[in-house]
Amino acid sequence: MGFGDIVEQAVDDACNDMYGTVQPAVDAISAAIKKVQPLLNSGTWQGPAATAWIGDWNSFYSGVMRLLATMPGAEASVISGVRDQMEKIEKQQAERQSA
Amino acid sequence: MSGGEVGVNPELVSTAASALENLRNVLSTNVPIIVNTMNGYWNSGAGSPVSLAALNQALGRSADDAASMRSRASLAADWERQHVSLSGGIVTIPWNPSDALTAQADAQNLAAAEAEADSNPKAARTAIQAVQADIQDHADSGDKQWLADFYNDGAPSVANLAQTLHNIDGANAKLDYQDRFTVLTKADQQILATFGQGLAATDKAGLLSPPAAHAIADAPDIWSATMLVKFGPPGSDWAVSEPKSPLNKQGVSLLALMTQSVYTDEQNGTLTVPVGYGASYDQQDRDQLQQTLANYDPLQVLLTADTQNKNATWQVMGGPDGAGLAKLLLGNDGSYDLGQLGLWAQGERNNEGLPSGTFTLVPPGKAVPEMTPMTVFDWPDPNAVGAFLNASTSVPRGHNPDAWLSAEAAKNIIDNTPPSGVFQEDPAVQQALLATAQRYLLDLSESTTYNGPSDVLTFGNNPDAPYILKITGAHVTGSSSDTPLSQFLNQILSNAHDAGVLNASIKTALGRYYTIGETTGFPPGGPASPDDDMASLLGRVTSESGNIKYVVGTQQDEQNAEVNSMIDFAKDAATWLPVVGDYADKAESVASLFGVPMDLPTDNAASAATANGYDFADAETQINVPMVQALINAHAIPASDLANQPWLVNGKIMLSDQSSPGQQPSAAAFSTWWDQYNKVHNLSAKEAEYQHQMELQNHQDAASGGGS
Repeated sequence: MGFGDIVEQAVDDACNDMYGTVQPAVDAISAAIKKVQPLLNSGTWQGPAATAWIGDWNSFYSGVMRLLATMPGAEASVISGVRDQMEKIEKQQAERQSA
Repeated sequence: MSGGEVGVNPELVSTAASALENLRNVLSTNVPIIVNTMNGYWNSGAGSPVSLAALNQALGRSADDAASMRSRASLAADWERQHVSLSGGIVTIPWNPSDALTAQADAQNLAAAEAEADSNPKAARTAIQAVQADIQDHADSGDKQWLADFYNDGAPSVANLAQTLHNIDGANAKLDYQDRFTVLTKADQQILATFGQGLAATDKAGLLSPPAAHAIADAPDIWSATMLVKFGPPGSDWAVSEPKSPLNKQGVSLLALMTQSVYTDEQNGTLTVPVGYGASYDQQDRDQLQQTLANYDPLQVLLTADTQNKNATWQVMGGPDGAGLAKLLLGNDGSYDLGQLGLWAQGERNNEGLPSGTFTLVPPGKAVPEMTPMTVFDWPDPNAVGAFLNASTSVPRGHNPDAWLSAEAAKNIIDNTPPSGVFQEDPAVQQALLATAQRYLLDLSESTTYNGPSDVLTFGNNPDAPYILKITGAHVTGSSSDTPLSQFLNQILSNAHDAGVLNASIKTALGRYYTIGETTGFPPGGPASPDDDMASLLGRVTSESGNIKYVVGTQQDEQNAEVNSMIDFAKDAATWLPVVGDYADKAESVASLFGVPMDLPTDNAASAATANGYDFADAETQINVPMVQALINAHAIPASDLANQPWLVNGKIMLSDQSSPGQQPSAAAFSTWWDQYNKVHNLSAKEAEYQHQMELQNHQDAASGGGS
């Protein structure tokens, strides 16, 4: 196996982790939050205590949803970072060999 | 509507609770995956980190959100049903109801679900699952007070839950072939596991009220209540006692109370198990039916749980039902097929000719109803029975309530053990009998001349002394071979391995007591001559061994096993009655005492010659080998007297009929040495005394022909 293959293998592993493990977990959480949201409305309950709690819940989980929305970018950044790291090592290896 | 009160739609708030529970579960599974994977890369320098704190915060608050909403849903459902604060489909409830209020609501919801199980099984199951979810939430958060409030309110319904679930399944069953063997589905078992865990946690925390314990233990359907134990946590997770109350004067554990109820119902012929949903069975179903019923037999469920709990075993066996239960478990009760717990009889067909879906346990000795469509045997699991009996006599000897109960348990077991000629116990059960004998060895030895009724007393009637056993071991006149002591010993001795262990135990004790008597003397306040008592017991054992008719091959194996079993005994270490001093730490292994090779094979043909060299049944070596070895071990024989003796190897007596070139066999050398040594040191008086004690037992046992 050449060093180029090792770079591709590391990138593939990172892709599998990001798209095969992390993103499905992100999607599962997102779906679970969306299942709750429509149930928190005035048809379910009436009263200031409930209204305050709903406001707090919606506000908090809006933040969680925003975080989840940033995850694809973070995942891409990881994959890109892995590629950069491995290519840097590959370059150093090539320089050592030529020296 | 004011302050912290809200109007809620009960159905929607229940749906919201379910959605929040789902969110909690999803977060619990997935947040660690995201956080761990991303941090792994970021820590290695790959990618640009972002804060994942919000995910961890969500994980933290989701459990409380779900639990709170479930409590609101439970309260709303309860008040809606009772038309409390209900208007236009909206129920007004406190937004933050107290634990007591929601626990009570769940108890009432459960009772209502069970009441409507026949008419609306689907709604009943949904309501039960909602209560299950609430229990799980509070159990997860360690909210024991909420659990206590729930179980103390809802105990009767909790006890009836398994039967309700079975009935709900029956209403929905497609009646496939395998349905005829269904008692509880996997889903039912999961529900019962949650309810059982909550109940055990409440019980263990000492928060179960006496009426609630009574409602569980004396439930009209004790089978249903027992399923909480079967699918709940192990018996060690349940309380070892309950608060004393008029309903439970001794304060025994919930598990023990349940076992007593099961035994009572078993004896009354009212112990029932629902199986299938009214199927007709034929011969091809018999094995699977038997297996199913054994699996759901409440007595066998509780034997296992009691053993895990430990205290429950001596509370049961030392309690009012101990003697009867011993009879049942030891196969000494009944007029047909000894060894069974009874016969499962399918209920009679109804007026429309449809078969019953219930089996009733007919106890041994009772008649099976004539119109019973199907019967199967209820065989006990000997491993469960053996472990249960063994645990029941395992309390360290002493003067406390547990020691008394354990001694009572031992008395009940010994008194009700049948002789091997009547019923041969499974080896696992015999093992429990042997362990009991070892724990009460000196008591048994002192019982060889006792002709009163078996009893548990304090030694010397001193109220502060340890509890001791008195077992009927002799009659005023005639043979003692039919006494409980002889029959108990006879059962143990019928197992060649156990016979060897028992012989080894007695000989070790004899040697030990002899040495103590000859050196320091016996401590005051204890038995005057425990060495003589041991000799008596050895005589009784020798006599009972003669009453057992081994087949030829077994007899040889018994000799071999006696040698090998000493090694096993050594692992267990003897227990010694504290009244003559605590010698447990001095109880060297029997193998060490007798110099037994550690790897003697039990194979009959291969080891016959070797075993003959250790014939401890020989009249002389029965007594003097243990005496001498004990003296050597106590350094009571000067080294000069032992110099160059071929039978002494590394401080251990090694007897053999085989001789080395130029030497006499070690067995013969030992005999020669003994003849000379005991003349000088006057050991023969003691030897004669012990042999006299043994002879007395032989004569007593054989007074009317022996045998049992």
